[in-house]
Amino acid sequence: MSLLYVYAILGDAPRGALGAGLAGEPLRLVPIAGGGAGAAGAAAAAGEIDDLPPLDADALRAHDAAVRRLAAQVDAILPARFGSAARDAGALARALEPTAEALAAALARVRGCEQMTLRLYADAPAAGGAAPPFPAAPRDVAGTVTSGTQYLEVRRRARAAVAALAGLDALRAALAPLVTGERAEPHDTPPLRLTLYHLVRRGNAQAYAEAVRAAAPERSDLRYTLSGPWPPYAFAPEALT
Amino acid sequence: MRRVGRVRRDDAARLLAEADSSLLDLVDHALSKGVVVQAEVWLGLGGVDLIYLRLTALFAAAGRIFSGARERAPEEAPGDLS
Repeated sequence: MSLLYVYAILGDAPRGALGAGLAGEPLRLVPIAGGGAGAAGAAAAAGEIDDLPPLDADALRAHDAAVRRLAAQVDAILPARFGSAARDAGALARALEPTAEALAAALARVRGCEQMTLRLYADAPAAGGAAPPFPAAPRDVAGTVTSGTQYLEVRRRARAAVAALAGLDALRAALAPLVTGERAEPHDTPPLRLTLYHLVRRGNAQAYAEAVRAAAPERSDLRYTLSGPWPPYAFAPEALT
Repeated sequence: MRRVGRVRRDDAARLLAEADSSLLDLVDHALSKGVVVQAEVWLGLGGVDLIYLRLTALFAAAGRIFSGARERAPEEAPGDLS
């Protein structure tokens, strides 16, 4: 008995062949019903496989490769998280129907766009001592933040540390003309302070990279890594179960 | 509900232990972002919580290792969506 492994939600009809999935299986479309006119034409791209793929580097790369091939066939795509699956096409359609409006809104947001991922690092507090202290978060022996209250406190401190990052406002302002959407994740794991997931128009990735290079402050205490373009993984709505 | 394959914590630990920076980016995107669909199927992704916990710590460790700004240019990424 097989299961239907889901790669992405597509916002329009593919321009060419869907190709194969991570097990070499042919991909097909499962239409998404409901959601009004905005969801018309949306479909899930999926393939039948015998069992879940193993969680290893090759499988992750194969998943991403399939998503990228699909992205090249459409203008709007929401990648599925690795391991997404349905019992069969009927189950998939039933699961997606209640979320069709949210999917349509997300598809509209990412249409014509791709994602750049910018991680910002800083070792030292901002100049002038403006950065708040950044004590270690309370964690149990496995490294887990141990309560909801503590989690919220960690997030608050992470946001405060990010707000104190010198040069961040200038960097964001310089990138703004190229950025159509942003998701920001502060971190409590110094020197990693912030990950910015940016939507840019397709074809603008190189211009974005050059803008980052030009705007990144010439400071030893603020570093960055940049990767992309990616399919818009960070702009897909989560938890459609 | 059908029960399908299980990912063990060992698998997740091994994936992270062997990951280079580009694979970490892939883990971040494909394993902790994206639409989650589990439709009438139970997936035993038991090791994934470990990845969520350790991923940013690994990025932070990479930030300590690389002394200066480090960048992977878009043209080096595995694909072009334009």
